[in-house]
Amino acid sequence: MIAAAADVSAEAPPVASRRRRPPVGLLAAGAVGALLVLLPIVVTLAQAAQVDLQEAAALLFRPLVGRLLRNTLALVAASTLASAIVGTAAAWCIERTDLPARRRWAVLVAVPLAIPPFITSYAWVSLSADLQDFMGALLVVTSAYYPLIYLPVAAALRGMDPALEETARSLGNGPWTSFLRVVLPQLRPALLGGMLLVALNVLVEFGAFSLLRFRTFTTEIYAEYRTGFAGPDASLLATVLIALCLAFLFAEARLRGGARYARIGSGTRRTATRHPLGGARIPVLLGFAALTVATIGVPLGMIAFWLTQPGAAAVSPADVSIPLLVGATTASLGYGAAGAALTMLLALPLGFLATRYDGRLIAVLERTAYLAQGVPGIVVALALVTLTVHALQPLYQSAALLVVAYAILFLPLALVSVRAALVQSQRGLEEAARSLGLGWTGVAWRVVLPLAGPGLGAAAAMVFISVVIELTATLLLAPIGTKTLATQVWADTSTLAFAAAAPYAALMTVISLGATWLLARRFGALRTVAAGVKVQAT
Amino acid sequence: MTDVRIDGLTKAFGGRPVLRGVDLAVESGRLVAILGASGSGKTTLLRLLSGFERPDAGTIRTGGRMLSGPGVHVPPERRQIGYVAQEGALFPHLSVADNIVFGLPRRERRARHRVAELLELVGLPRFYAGRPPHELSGGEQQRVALARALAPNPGLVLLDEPFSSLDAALRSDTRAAVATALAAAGATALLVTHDQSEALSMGHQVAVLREGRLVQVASPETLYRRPVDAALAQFIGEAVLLPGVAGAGRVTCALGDLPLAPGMPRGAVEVLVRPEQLRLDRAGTGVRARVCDLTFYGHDSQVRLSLAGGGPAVELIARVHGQSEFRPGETVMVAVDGEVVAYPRTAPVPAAPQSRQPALVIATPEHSR
Repeated sequence: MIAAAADVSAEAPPVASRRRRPPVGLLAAGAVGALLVLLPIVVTLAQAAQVDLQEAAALLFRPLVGRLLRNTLALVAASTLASAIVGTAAAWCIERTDLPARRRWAVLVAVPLAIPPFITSYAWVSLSADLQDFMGALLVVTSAYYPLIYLPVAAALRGMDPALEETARSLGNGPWTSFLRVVLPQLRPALLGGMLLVALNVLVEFGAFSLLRFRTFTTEIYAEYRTGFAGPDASLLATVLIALCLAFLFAEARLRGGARYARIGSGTRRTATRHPLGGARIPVLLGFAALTVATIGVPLGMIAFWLTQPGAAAVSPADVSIPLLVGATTASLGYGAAGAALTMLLALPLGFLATRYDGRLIAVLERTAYLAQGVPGIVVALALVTLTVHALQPLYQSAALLVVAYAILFLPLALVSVRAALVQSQRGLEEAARSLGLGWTGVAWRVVLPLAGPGLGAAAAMVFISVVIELTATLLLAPIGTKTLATQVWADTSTLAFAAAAPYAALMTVISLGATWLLARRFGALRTVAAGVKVQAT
Repeated sequence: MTDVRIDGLTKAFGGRPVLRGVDLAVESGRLVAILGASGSGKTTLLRLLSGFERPDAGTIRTGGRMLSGPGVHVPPERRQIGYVAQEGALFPHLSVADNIVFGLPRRERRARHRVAELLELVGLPRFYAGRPPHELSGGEQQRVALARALAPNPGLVLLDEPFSSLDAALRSDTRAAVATALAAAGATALLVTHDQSEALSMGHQVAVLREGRLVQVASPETLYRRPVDAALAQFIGEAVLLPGVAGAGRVTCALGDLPLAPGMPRGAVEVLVRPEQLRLDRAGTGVRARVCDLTFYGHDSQVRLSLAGGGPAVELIARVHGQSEFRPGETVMVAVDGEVVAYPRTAPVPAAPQSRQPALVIATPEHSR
């Protein structure tokens, strides 16, 4: 990946002025990623358009669709609200009170992001079958996604000038009124942005709901696919889902582009005075402990429990063999590496265009790539199945097609980090290096790479993690006979063979947690990871 | 109108003492500048007054009411002390008018009570009321912050380095507007600053804080002319310090026999001469000195001199008006205007005179002809 970065910078000499037109080759390379993202949307719409209007109306306005819509939207609303409350409360306690062991809690509160939601789902389902309803789904997605609120809100609290709160106090407001009148309004962009991300993730979640037997659009599309293959029914449902997702995505983008309560002025930042918890100390600590048990303890605990049980102890007995385990792990890691490589290859030209050149076309390409965040994995997979079955038969169920699906799904994730990394090495620095006598190779090697290299590595690593824990596209597109860790967990849990699923779940969680931990340690930014995880849910 | 009384105020952070027994009394309606280098504890003093921190010991009273003391801690929102933060801390989600009425009861907030009056008080046009804070310049933000602090009619206003983030041109205007508004409102004010000229020009009184202790509380003139020790003299402004021997009303040093201010010690002393007290002349009386170099500032120039004659080399700094034309290498006569101040000599006198670094020095080589 790092070598690729150098290649790309070679294409555009660093002395390029901002107004200069980008090289055609670079533009074409950037366009590939954007077009790939559009592909599943176009295929789905084309497929849906084949249904004539009356039939479409009949298919869309049936009670089932109404029920799915109610289920999905009610869950989105409830889990978003629950995540907002839990996430904001946790952020405030950690950033603004004298909570003991704050640093440790801050890490524990972010950890659930590195546990795939369908593993959390597996854990709860194997604990009690009673959780297979709305409340169970709410519990699982809230515990999986509340860090998406916690992280931006905590960052906003850290970035907020403490003088604002103090001024409010000096003007006669108590701590609680100050929070409502001053702190909360400042948190609004972070909070709303986080809530939209949670909503988007719940909309596209498949694995967790499938294991919980909670019916949403994604699970229904999968069911339709299983019965009617890639028929028009599935495409119509997928169109509705895409519309919902894109609505949330645009709302989020608008929010980010719009009002931003930055600090007015700049200067030394003082840390805020922490509110004493006083008598609330013990209840708050108990709350954090309960949160940790529910979001980390149960998933890890249940995996550990089933690991120690013989296969026969589960509802449907099944056993795991070492060769199976090794095979699935190798497959997962291999796909992870291949997915990361292709995704980075697509993201680099786009990132380079976006940071080094201006122009309408570039903006369009970049925004198109980000659209992938609003296209659920199930839709991408279904579209690629449709396309290959009808037009590109040899690619159907090939490993290459699966890797392309990963690249489509995780292009936005990679692009965010690649962009941030390339911005690190600004053109001014490159020009300074040129003026000091370095050629473009020297600039790439001694300036761009040291500055952007770590960020690019982080981007690749995040895609790798996301691919390893991806379920939906893998399930639909993996070549026959290919078993990955994710598909194995899913298959065994679907048949209630919890003990058999445990080793795969354990390996997957270890890889995800370990890689995330390394990333966070290396870059000290759980936030970067969080930015990524928002697209990994499928 | 409120007077302030601080007794034995002590505060440590993590075992490191920041304030060590500060006593300060401020008369009602006065503006007192608290001057100190960074880390001297001045901001801590302000935060204790406003109630954001609790003192370890000592008491704070305003208008006879105990705010902090043994077993007493009035929370910030019930102190009725206005607070203007370093960069104003205007609420970014509220308009100028909503910022100003923020601390008023709900009914008065709705009625935009006194917004126009307060804007006028701080010297801003009325149509600013509807603007969002980020459209204001730094100086305007500070004025709105002051208007907001004054709106609930506090008896005491605290200003935490309110001008430090402004550029030089804005600073003097904003200082003047703030001083006028505070005087018009009749509020007692404490202004924390690390800027000597700001403290001297704005404060009715200046309290100098050094390592958590108040070393001198005096009028600006007294502070500048008769600082309590040599270190303070150097902190308050440029100072030339020379060893000397003091007798009755006179002191003898490298600059000759000089008149001494009343009440000065006798014997071995350090003599304080301000650079602007030195008069340079090509002819006339005084001590001979050679011009080492000259730094031109426009309104005045700083001249580094080295005293001719035997013994160890003595360096001086003089301030002369911008029109004077002395050249490096030239010999001039140095005379002293007015009385000088002396301190008992305990430690060796610093070898070179201390001065603040000029923003830009265009040095002329000493040996150029």
